Amino acid sequence: MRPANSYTLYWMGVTFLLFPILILLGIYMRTVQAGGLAGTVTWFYPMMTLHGVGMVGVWYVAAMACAADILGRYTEPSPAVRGLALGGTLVGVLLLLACVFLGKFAGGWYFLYPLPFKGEWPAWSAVAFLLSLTVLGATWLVWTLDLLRAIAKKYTLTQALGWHYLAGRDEPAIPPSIMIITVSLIAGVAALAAGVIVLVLFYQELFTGAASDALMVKNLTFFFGHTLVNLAMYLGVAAAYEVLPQYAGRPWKANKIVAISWNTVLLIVLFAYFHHLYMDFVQPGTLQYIGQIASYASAIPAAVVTIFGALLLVYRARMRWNLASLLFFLGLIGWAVGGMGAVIDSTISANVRLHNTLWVPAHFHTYMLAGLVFLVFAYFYHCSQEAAAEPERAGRQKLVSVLMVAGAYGFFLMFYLSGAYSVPRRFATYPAELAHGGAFSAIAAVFATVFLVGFLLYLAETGSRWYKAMQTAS
Amino acid sequence: MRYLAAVLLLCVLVPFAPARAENEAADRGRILFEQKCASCHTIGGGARVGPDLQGAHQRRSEEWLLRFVTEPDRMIAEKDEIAVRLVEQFNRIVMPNLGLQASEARELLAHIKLVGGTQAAAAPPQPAAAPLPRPDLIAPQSIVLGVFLFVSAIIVLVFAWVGFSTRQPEEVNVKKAYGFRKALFATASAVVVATLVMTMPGAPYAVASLKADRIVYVAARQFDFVFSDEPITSAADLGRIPTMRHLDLPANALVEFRVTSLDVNHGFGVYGPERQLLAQTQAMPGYVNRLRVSLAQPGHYKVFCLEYCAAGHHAMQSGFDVK
Amino acid sequence: MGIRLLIGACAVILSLAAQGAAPGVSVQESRLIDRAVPDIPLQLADGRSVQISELWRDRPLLVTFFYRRCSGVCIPFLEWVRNATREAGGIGGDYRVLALSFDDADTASDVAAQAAALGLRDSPHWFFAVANREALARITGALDFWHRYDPARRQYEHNALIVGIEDGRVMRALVASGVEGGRMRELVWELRGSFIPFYAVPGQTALSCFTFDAVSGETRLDWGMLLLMLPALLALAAAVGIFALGSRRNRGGMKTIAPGGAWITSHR
Repeated sequence: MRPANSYTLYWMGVTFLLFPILILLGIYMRTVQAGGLAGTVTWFYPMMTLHGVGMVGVWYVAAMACAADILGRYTEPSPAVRGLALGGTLVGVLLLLACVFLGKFAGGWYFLYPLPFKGEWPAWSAVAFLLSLTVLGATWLVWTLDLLRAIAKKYTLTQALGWHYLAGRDEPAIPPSIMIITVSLIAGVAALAAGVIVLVLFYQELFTGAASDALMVKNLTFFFGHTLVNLAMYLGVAAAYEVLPQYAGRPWKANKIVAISWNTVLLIVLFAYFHHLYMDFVQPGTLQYIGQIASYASAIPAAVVTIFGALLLVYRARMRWNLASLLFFLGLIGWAVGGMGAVIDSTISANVRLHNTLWVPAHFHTYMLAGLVFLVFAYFYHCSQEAAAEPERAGRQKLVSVLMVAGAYGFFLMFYLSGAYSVPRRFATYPAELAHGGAFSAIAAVFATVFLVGFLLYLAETGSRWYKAMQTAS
Repeated sequence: MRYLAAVLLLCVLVPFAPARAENEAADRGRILFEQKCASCHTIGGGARVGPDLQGAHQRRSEEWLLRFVTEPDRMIAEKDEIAVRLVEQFNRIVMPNLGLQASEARELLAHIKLVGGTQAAAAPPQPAAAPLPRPDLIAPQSIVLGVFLFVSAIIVLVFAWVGFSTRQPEEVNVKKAYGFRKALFATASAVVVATLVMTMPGAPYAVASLKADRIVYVAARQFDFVFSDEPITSAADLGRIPTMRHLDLPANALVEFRVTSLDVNHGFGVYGPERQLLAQTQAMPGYVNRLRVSLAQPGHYKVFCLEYCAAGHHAMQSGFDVK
Repeated sequence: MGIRLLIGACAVILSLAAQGAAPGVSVQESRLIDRAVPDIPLQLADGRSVQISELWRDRPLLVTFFYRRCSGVCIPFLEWVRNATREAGGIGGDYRVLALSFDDADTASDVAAQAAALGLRDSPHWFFAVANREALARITGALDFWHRYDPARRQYEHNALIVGIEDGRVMRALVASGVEGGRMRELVWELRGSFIPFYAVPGQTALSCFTFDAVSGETRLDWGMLLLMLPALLALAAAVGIFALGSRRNRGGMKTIAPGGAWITSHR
């Protein structure tokens, strides 16, 4: 028995509430693309925007909640800031819901400049959207800085980044999760700062009418968007580093190689976003090639160190398999498979054929849904089960995993196939030439529904423990 | 004497004045049409994002037309019967308020009358074209998919093997494992470097010292692509610079598309006769991207917008023929 | 005094900014691209007779027009072209320059004198030439080179034109009503075989990240790049700052490990 942190439990509640709604939006989109619900087609792009911002936001905060919970085991994140993060996020979500449902705002989740100013939605809804992102961005920036402060209370910067391992010293022992969280949070400050600059440029145009350079804003936007999503994934991996050893009954410690790889990631993650601009030929070629090299390079520390480390941890271990350990393991598979899709897409000569086709959602759904979501679900289940200590039924937990995996991968495969057939992403309906996109969508909608059923079973499994944990929360 | 001449000149001109004024209005209307309407409508060219406007002045009252052109948003909000029906008919894509004055609306109408002639009926909205069957994957795309599926299968097999190994727990020789990791690291690095070296020359940039056989200027806007032999860099150029309604390109010629955008970011995705992507570039406001392609296979090529650009994004398309 | 200085400085900055904006390709220029240039006979300054095609046979040719008696833009323009080609380099190896008199009254010795005045008489890569009336009519017609003789002033009214020709076809042209250095150098770079992917539409790209530096032929960083690097610098500053504060606070004594941490360690 270990009482759960009440803020972690609140975040779980928020996630469990918003996630199924956002899944339904996703199923809705695939249905419209398949030719169903034709009367609602004008809602496609607003819902796409909400699904995008919502999913990115929910899984970012869920991953941050896991990170904060892990940090709570070693040091003390400020409870006030935790409250602020929760409150600020809810205000941001309300603003977002207002601009989408009342204003039909449909600028897309990365609101590529100057689209928010030039759509068919009213100007106020674009302003509400920007305000929503401002509230979220500012809140998350404060949250990130506070978590860094909490780490700084206990470790020096060089310790937290594991630089003493690089120098050949093993003391003091730093948990790998702390190292990864530190790296991710520092990158997070950069991402959020880029977001703030983008917003400032938008406001500047709003108030003074001074236009910005579209190429520069695009660079900043993807620096923000790509990095944020990327580090949310890393926070999920940190959770695996933290908890999976308990189930394997073996240690998973930091060492020189782990330190090298995650410090490399800190550097590389700042350059990988260039791969979003491959098809902007005005971007200097050097940056494009740096983008491909950085994207490839980030795969090596991830694959060779983390994935190999995880496999070594589990290999022939006296493993206690339950929903948590199973989902951690599956989450690492999703990360690896999605990462492979990403590496292929980050190859410039392949990107010509894949850029902005459904291959893009294919790979990011793989590492977000089958990667990050599984890792976070594993951590959430782990926390509630530790607090609730209820008997576990292996059969039911296997069923949950099988349904989620089958639903998710079936649904991804339709995306990958569509991407290979050059079906563009973000099309509400498909022209006759690309009608097969609609057929893939129909199958995808079925698989996504299977995933939703799997999720509801997961919710039943975790929800009861979550409720019990709430009674004893600290 | 000079006075007399002026009076005489006036006598000659006055009878023609209304006709000339009408023609001038129609010409201003033509420019307005190119700038504000042609991205969604044609006159006699069939329905696009919105209806074909040929004969619109005969189908609807002038009063209705003038009001709809100047304030479509209010008429839709007031649930005007015809306006609502049109919205239903055209995939619920709503005509935006373009900020046109009443005088401009009259000029537009003059242009539509002049071009549309007296044909009473416009082409009905084209029934949705029959869906085409799924094409066969072309080589680069199938290689990409094949590589991905192959590597993914290996990943899943390795994880499955490790997962099932926990059925027979035993202590693992960590030193040996670290040795294996070293080998893995070396192999992975070698694979990465080799792939980089192999794929980077395939990048679509900077084909130095190659001279384009044909240059086509492309201006993207919500929601169509305008082709021209001359650069169109602002909305004001539309209607003043000749554009191409139909584009034919010679097979195997090196064609350079100089792509820009007049409003938001768009994508210029070239789909070959196999209906798969052959090349693409972004259309970004303020910049011109130069996409060079050599199109070997004769046939009809499609261009789809590959960057989300608001409500009509999926309807934003164009095409050309390679002969 | 101070205010005047300030205004003066502003004016200089504004004029520099105006020069910095690349006007892209004008409609007039784009109409010339890919046009066939007639192969006309020329008489060079040294008296030799050649076909113009001999000059573009093995490398691109930059053609500009002038006339000897011009009291207006011709001579300064030629000087400017000379300086611009010197700056961009590659002349001779990558391309040649032909300065063709469009006044059929000019003779070979007239243009030779002009070459000498510019210090280009001995340059093997510069050709000064005259042509007969019919040939001039063909080439100026093909290149839309506008000129009109004004008998009262005994001068031509004309505009300035530079045309890059490769294999007898126009690859890029500059109609230089206001002389613009950056674009001239871009033209030279293209003659030299570089593919310049970067050209911005005028007036829409304030504070951009990159500009094409026509002197070096490189794309170089612009002020907007600073904004792009700002987030990373801020993150670095935040990390260093927070940890510096944290370690100062900790010097008094380390906090004990939270219970969860202890639990974890006991498990290891």
